[in-house]
Amino acid sequence: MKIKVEHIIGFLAIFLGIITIILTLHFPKFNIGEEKVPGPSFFPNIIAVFLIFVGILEFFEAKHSTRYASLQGMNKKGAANVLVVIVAILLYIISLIPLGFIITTFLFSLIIMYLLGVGKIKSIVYSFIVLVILILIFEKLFRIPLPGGFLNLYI
Amino acid sequence: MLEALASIFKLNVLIPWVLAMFFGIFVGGVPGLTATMAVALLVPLSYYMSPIAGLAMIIGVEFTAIFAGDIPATFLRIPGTPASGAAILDGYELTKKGKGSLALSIDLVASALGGLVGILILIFVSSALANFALKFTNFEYFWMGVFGLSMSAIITTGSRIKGLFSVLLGLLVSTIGMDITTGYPRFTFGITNLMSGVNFIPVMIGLFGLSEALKYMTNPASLKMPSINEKISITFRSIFGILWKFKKTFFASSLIGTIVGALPGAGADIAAWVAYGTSKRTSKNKESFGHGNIEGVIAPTSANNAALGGTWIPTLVFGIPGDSITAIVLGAMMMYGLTPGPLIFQQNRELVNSIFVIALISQLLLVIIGFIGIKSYSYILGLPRNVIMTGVIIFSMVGSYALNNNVFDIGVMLFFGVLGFLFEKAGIPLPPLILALILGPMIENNLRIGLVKTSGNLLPFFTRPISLTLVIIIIISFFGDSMLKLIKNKMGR
Repeated sequence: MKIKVEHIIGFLAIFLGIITIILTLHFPKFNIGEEKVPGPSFFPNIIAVFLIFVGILEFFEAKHSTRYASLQGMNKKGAANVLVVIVAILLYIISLIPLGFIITTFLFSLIIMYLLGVGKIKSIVYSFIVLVILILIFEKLFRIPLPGGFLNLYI
Repeated sequence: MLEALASIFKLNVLIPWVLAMFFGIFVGGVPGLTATMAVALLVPLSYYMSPIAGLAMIIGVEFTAIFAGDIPATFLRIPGTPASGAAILDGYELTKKGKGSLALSIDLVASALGGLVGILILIFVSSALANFALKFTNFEYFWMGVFGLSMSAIITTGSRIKGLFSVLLGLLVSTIGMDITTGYPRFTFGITNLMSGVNFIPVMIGLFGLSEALKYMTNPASLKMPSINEKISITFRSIFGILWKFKKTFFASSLIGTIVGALPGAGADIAAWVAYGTSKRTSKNKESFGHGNIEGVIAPTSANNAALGGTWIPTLVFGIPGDSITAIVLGAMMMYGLTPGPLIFQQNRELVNSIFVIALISQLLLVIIGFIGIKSYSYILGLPRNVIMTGVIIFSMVGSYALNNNVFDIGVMLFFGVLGFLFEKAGIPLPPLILALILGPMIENNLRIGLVKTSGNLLPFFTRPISLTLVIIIIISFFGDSMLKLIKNKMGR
């Protein structure tokens, strides 16, 4: 069965609205003296009500829509590329602190350039240049400490 | 004024001033580095200089960094600074059509002229405007936020309901973190990094920069990269010709920018969105907005630079910072032994005049230095497109990290990058999300404080004169078109 994009958005909006209301049930009430005043749950609850309303409207909009959920214009290779980039960024996040900025960024750059079909030698040269530019801008000029990783022990 | 001119045309003022302006181009052009950061970095240096040299550096870097944020926004779809969020909408579309340098040249001149308008208003009507801005209380700020948010309905292309979904999601994300009134952590799920909320800079880099790179990854061969081989000749005459054609957009946006800038807490980023929305609303070619309309380039850029002049109004007149940059300026001025406020106009008249002259001349210097910046940056687009896209992803990650030296921000950037990629596939507009994220805290805090003040009574939100005016403006901006059509139909009959 083909699902329309509006059905997914509608479901997501209603789901987010309900989850928000449930989560705010545990938020503390806020009183000044005897008087009840808008507390931490006040604004999120307004948003939640609107989200549910928008979700319902999306189901109505779906009736007139011909847009079905699919990875439009994306072949298998394209989807794999996107997935590799996402995984590579996740690995970058995990390894940045232990391995350090130089190794992680250089490897990341090599992987992405390889994925995009840049030649081996060119990938190495461009990755090196990008790395040098980043270090010069962020670390040398702006004194933003970039993670040294295990290399810190040796340098 | 002559004394002011004499005091600034000295080598020990001119050299740091011009160097700071080049530095501003550089900072604004690198995603993740903000104009506020640039000013903060220059303040310690200025301690060893005369107050005029220090202020020249700060003013110079401020104007150039805000303009330079539009360079990566136009060429690569990554806003260099938060104030450049609106610049991607039409600027990048023009780059895709091979008109990136033309768009940026117009952007530059409109920036400088917008800055000029902001400064002239600062010089001639600063105290009147500052008094007006001081009449804004929580009720007016709430409506100002709602008015800004109403712009999302105008900037949305496609389904309004999907645009509203994007707005609500942005507002929901803005509530993450410690509640400002009670200190209660909302939606943090025990994650310490979420306690201070979600910073909108990595969100913006992810939504626009990474999502574009992911889109490119899906089919590297078929997607065109912007070209710099423009066959259009760019001359000052042609740029001024275009600006003259859209003079109404330019002046209205500059005025909006200055007024928004003069409101403490509302800076160049909000000004740019409001001006973009207003110009789209009033344009004869509103359908072409978001598809490479030059008015969509002129409006946000003239507004954000005019807003900088506006932010100096409450700073100089009352000693209340208009935005984060002028907050640093206040600190710097105190460091120089100056006390901003009404008395500064009497006690330090010469210095105030010098600030005005520096700000005016900075606009001229901005045009020269800005052109060098555009030219230098355009060489990047001459590189192989696969290398550029790798660079976009890496700069998105490092720029997000550099903000707080925190890998968590790279995660935020990644999350919103993937979300932006999926949203664009589903036809959900991205700008309303970022606009809501910026305005969310302003709307929530002022609504809650306002309700506390009135013991839950909503009436003062509608009965105060400025509040009521804002409500009417919001209603007109939402229903103005339909009402006009209805009236025309009735007249026709």
